[in-house]
Amino acid sequence: MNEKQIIEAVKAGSGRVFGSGTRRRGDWSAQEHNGIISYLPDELTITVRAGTFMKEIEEKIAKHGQMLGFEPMDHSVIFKKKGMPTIGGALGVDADGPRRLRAGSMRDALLGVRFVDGQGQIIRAGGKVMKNVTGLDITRLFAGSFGTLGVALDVTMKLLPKPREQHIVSYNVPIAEAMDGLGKCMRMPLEITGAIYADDQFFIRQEASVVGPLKTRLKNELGKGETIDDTKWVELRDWKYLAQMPEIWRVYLRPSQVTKFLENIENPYMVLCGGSQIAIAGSLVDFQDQLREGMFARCEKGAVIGARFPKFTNAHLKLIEHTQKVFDPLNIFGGRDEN
Amino acid sequence: MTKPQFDIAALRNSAPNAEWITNSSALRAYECDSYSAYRELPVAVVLPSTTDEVAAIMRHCDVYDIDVVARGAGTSLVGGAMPKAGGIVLGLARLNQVVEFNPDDRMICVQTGMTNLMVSHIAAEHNLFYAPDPSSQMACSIGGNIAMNSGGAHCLKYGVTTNNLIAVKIVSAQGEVHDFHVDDGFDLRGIICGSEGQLGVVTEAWLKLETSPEGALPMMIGFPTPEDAGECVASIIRAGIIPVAIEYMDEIMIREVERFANAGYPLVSALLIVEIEGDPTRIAVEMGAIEKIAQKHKANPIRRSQNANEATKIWAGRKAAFGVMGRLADYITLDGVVPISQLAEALRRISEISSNHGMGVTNVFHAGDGNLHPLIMYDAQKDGDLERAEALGVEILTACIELGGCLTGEHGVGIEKREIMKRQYLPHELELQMQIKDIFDPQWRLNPDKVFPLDISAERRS
Repeated sequence: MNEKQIIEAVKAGSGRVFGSGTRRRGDWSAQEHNGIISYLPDELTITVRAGTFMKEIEEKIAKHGQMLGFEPMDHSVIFKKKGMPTIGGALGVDADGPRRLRAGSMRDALLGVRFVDGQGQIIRAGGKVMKNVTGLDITRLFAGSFGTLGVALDVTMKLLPKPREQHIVSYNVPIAEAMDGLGKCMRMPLEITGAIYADDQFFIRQEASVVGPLKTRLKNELGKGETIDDTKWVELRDWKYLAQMPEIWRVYLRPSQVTKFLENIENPYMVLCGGSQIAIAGSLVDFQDQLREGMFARCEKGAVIGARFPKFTNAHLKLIEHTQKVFDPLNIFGGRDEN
Repeated sequence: MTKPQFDIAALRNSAPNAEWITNSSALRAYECDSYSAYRELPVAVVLPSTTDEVAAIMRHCDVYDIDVVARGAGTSLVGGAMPKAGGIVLGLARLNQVVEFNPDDRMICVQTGMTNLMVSHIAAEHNLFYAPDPSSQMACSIGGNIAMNSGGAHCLKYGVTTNNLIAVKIVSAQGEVHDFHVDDGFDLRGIICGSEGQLGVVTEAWLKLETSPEGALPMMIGFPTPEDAGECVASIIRAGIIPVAIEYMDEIMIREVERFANAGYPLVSALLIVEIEGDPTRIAVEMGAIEKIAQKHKANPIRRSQNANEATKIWAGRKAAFGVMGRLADYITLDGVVPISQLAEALRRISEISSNHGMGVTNVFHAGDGNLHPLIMYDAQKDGDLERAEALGVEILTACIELGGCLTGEHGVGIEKREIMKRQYLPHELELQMQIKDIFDPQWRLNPDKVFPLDISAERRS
């Protein structure tokens, strides 16, 4: 579909829009609306149509030594889907990955988005420049809204230069030891850009223009580990360790809470983002007693995908629903449960 | 339109333990913020020290239809904290405590009246820092930073407030307390950040802390023309180097800063201060690369700072820039943004517009992210001079939009730019933004008369 057809389809109210189907299938696809509109290496920015494959973007910018800072995971691995991830899909879920602990998620790379709202109007949020605080920040709201606010047409993102060197190392240590070590190392200038714990292994990535001296200093702190290659890292990024599991939840918490949280958990898990998140295979009842004040969990895969625990307060939910209604008064994008 | 006077005693009873200011001489201190050309006296100022007090006050104001302007430290450059006549100011100054902090978390929860610099002071003991660093960081509050989505010199590498804000506790116009987290699955935190006090009063915030670099050193690079400096910035970025800061200063500014702050700046047409951080090897490698790039753009002189003392001196000059100009003239500061590739063209247009108007404009800004800060000098004693300066400002900002940029990169809209929002947004886009305000503040009592053009928001505000 081209831009005009998307607007017409929205106006005709013909249902939900999805990307290429890495997550689930929709009534019609915006994936054909693709292609790189402009790429300006000097500006570290790129503008692409929402249906553009992530792979196409990554290959293009890699030629100029640049990358997407949020290092998005490829959801097709845990969902066992053949479709290739698109940037529009990543925007819908606010994709993130191991570099989140330094560079944030997709919303942090987002400079602007142009989208069609539920009335078929084109809305421009943000722009193409690095800083913009003109009016309400609809860009941030749009990222991770699961397509409930509109159909993205094109997306402008900030890119990062790819660090010249990287070093990935793994340690065979219990989780408590890993978290203690990380707590110490993350407060030292070791340029750690990824820290994941999975299957009794603790993985740390360092990136810099010159990584040699940093490597030595990490070794002084944590001892000699096993060097890991990039292929393994991509598997970690995509949660391959949990991919066979029918249900996966993501728990949001603080690094200092991780060890205690996991004490009574038998399920397979991965500690992500330096301890700000845990991906747990299994159902909510397996871990919900461990959730303390301020922690919450969202279902990433399984029958109740998208569910959040604890649930939003009624007042909070009302704010979300009213906001969705502003963008989509006729509920074309299916954001709200309405009878 | 001013609403009828309300019962002050009844309002005080909503939060009897908060500090209340009602006598007119003490209220004077709150009549404006750093955009001091515009002033208005509030009926009362309240300084609560807990979220519960804020909620009680907001509930009372909701019932009795009282306008509320939240205020951090009053350092807004756009009138964001200017009171509304007939309404109250809700100051955050006494909400200044750490709520929770474990250094291993690399995040901190603070009440939003805490100053930006205090957060970094607390974090520094643990080799951490809070990245957004507006020039006003000694005074400005986290609450104000969230309201304006503030940036600073170092946001080229670390992002602005929204990129470093994990969660907020906010009191709504009706006095309800909400917690919004970045990963909620619907990012209301994201719409709160940068909403200029239009949607609620943020009382607590979880902030992301970064690892302090091993070291950081600035270098000074002089250029024969502003164009050369602008092109050099783009070349540095293209080479894959992201300095923590790239600051630009023009000839007028260099001269004045030298005169008063004696920072040791070379007297050139355009100066870049480029800061590199990391371990000594990395700093040396990247500085060497930048030096080579700069030479291709006719740079002269190129001076690397050798130690912390030299570095402090270089930054002291930059941070003194606005104060120094204040001694020379009254000025207004703009905050437009352009794509980096348009920097040279933007500077050319600014100087053309400035000479057309016969008024002085000097430039000092964050070049790495294209965030311009033209200072327009005027004489407050001279009739009509402020209006002329403002008209010139509108022309410069319009040029920023034409070059593919925006009206404001970090100062916000406030009262200063509300009327020219129409130059950046189409009517239906502004309508969408106003409908979002309707949800959070149906009576339009929170920081009214700001951000949105007065004519299109008139009905909602009446």
